[in-house]
Amino acid sequence: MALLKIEDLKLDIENSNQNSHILHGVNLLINKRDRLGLVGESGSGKTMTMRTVIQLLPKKTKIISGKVIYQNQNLLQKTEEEMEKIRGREISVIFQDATSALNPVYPIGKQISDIYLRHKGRDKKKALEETVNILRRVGFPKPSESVKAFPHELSGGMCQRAIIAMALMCSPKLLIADEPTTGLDVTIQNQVIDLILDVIKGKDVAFVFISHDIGMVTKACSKVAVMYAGHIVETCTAQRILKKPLHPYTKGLVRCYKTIIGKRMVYIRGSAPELIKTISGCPFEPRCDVAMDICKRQKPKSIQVEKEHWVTCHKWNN
Amino acid sequence: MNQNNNIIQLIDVKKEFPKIVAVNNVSLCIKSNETLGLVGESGCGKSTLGKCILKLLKIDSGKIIYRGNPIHNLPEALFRPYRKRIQMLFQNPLTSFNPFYSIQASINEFCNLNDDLKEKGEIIKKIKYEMNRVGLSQRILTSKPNELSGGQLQRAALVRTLIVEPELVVLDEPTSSLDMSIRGQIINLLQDIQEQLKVSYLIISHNLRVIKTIAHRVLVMYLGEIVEETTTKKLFNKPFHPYTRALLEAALLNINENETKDILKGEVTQTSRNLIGCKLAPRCQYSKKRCFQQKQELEEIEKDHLVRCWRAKEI
Amino acid sequence: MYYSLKKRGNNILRFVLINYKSHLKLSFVIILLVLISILAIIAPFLPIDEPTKTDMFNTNAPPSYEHWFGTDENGMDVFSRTINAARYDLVIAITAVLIGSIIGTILGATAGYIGGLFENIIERFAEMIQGFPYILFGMLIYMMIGGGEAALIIVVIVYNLPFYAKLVRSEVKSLKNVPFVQAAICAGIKPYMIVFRHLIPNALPAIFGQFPLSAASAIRFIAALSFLGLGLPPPTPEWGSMIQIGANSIIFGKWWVSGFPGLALFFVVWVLNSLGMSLQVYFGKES
Repeated sequence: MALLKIEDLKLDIENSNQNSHILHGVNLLINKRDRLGLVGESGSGKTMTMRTVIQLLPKKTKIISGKVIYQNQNLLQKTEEEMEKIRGREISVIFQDATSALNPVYPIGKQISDIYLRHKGRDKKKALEETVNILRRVGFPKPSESVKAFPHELSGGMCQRAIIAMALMCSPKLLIADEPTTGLDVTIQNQVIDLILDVIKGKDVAFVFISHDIGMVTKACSKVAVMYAGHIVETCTAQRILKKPLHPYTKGLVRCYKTIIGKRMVYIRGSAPELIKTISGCPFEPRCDVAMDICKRQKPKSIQVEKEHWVTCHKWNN
Repeated sequence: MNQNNNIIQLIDVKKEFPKIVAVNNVSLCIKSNETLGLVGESGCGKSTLGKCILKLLKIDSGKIIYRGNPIHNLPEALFRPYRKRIQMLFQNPLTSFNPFYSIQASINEFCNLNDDLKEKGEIIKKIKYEMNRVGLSQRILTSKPNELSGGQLQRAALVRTLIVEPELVVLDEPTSSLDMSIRGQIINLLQDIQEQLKVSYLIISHNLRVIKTIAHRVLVMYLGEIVEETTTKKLFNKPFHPYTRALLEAALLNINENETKDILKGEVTQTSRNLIGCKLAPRCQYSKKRCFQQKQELEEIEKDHLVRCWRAKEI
Repeated sequence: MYYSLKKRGNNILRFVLINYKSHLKLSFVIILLVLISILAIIAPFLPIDEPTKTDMFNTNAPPSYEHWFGTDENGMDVFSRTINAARYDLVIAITAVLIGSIIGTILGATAGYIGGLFENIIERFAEMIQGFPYILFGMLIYMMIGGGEAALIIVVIVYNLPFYAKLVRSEVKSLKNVPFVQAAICAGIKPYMIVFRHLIPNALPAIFGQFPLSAASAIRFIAALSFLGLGLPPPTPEWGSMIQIGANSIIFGKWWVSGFPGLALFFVVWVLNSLGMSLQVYFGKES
């Protein structure tokens, strides 16, 4: 049964009196206990998709059309009050910059307990107990002391763990992590991902991992969706995406990731399209080596190639 | 180390900040037409080292010798001729251009370093030539930085650097802020330029794939010290130091599939910075008592392969 | 920032016309300031009484059809004086703040960039000036060169110097480590060029936001000093001295002599303060 369904989501942003199209009809399906990776580079719209789900959009954005259906309710139609009940409780988000998601003037214990108190009742003692428990779970060696620690006293990795604790405090049904490891040292990135996977193991949580790092995403997730310029171009299992990518963009990404041909690095020629331009036809066409005439004129539709493998490309339109 | 062939030599360079020794007695040398890679994570001092070479920071002790001439003590007026020979490419191309001025204006600023470019005609010709070399259209010249993409800006920064015809370019994380799918554009371009102009590079990066492609020799830094130094091939085929191995494992580049996972635990802490012994010891799963107590030296473990770890051969 | 102002044709009016929807308060305040300036400029050409024309038969007369704001103890038309005073107050304030901010900016930028002894000296001077009460300083200047425009301008300049010096110094210190400044150093650009080409332009948003606030303060300074008789000599129309002249008449119920200049002063200061704060918000949003 689908936990979250994003249907044909179209999003615009107004920038210096110009309308830019951010999302061009995004479709995503997340089931219970799924581990979905959302891969995309700059301008792909992956962060915006997530922000639309939790309704934390910047001021000048406009939702043109589409639905975000969570447990049979359209989140786009909910009021701010209703969304506040959902954020943190049903749907939790881990943001990229750990240290700025934490309030520097309060100890982390208080910030984590506050989440409990907001959603699960006013028992302060219970809140503290749960806080200590979850800090221990995320790897704080002395959790009863750590509750008093301030964010600036903690290292980057520990801050990120505190954020994870905050996100999981109320046992959400959907956990979204937006570039949780970008900016952290490479040797700690694996620790953080392993921790998240460990904590949600066996629980009834769906996990969405947003990143530009296709290697990390395929390691941590079972399903992968690839985004390019506000479109979802391919969706399949994590194993297949590295072995048998079908969309030219995905193929390019995997090649960049996998191969080092002697002394030359692999790359995809050109660069991502600017948001301002309206795209008719396939957005990847200018950079695609196998583009056909129709690719310029018509936007490709999403085709199911195999069970659990969808591609948005004219080449597979037979 | 062939004295005649060395472009630049750093001897026991030390740079301290309040409470932190960013660069702790680092020595290195770069030859002509060579690329030296400097690998390490945040806080290891590699960026600081790059800035010291460009005299953006003043070193506290040690020597920097350029083609046999000591430059670390020179006042700015005397160092100016060297500015033409040593240049830097910055990590974030957007902030390396003044947002108020066009690309053309920013590039023109650099022309004063090159004595051949006194006349306007010469300048225009040279810029056109370099724009061609990096694959940028002339239209870019009139644009402002925020109108261009990261890839375009980094190329424009390259044009600016090449205008002065340097001998050594310090590349400070040149592709970290660029999409993975276009990193190769810049790295391959840098290699082409090296072939054509015989320029040397000091490439500072935490991205091992980039280092593997472009560097001839590699230095691995941890908390201000060099922990391993060798050729690129040897580093990736036979890494000795636990930190190097951890980096390779994290980047999914390790050769040995059976290698124990998680060589390192925990994170960098203030105490580990101030240790007398090996700075990696608190995190290293191979550490012994001696690692904490005794100062570790860089030793030649094999031909042309130096490691700062007494247990390197065993593990 | 500067660039986007240029993009909008460096034309304030066009800016307002294009952006009034998103920057309501800023546009409104700009329009007000423009109107005030226009009024101040055309004041001498308006078909109203001379500001210094006395009418001894009509002293301290309440507002009427002939004298919209009434007359003061010398029979001078308060309305005319209030409008004309705008010329003196605004011009002196803006000129003085302009000069003071330019000198202060240059000193502050250099101090921030070069640092060392020079910066210390500038810092100490700034502290000395800011610690000195301006009324006392006004008196000193009055004793030395008498009152008048020159004296007021000097006081305001000296008062703004340390303020801008400190503001720009702190902006420059944070800009010093920005990559494009480091790139300029690598290009062998001489320090004074770096200060003028790179550092000051990027500090301009902070300066622009501060400027109207300084002008508002300056007008209050001028009014205060003139109120004490240390500024423009009578019968020059100036809000501060007008308020002072009318102060004695208030208890007799003659509120208009001080009231209207007071209102005008309040209004202009409000407009300038709002402009300054809206600009700061605007530049904050832009970055």
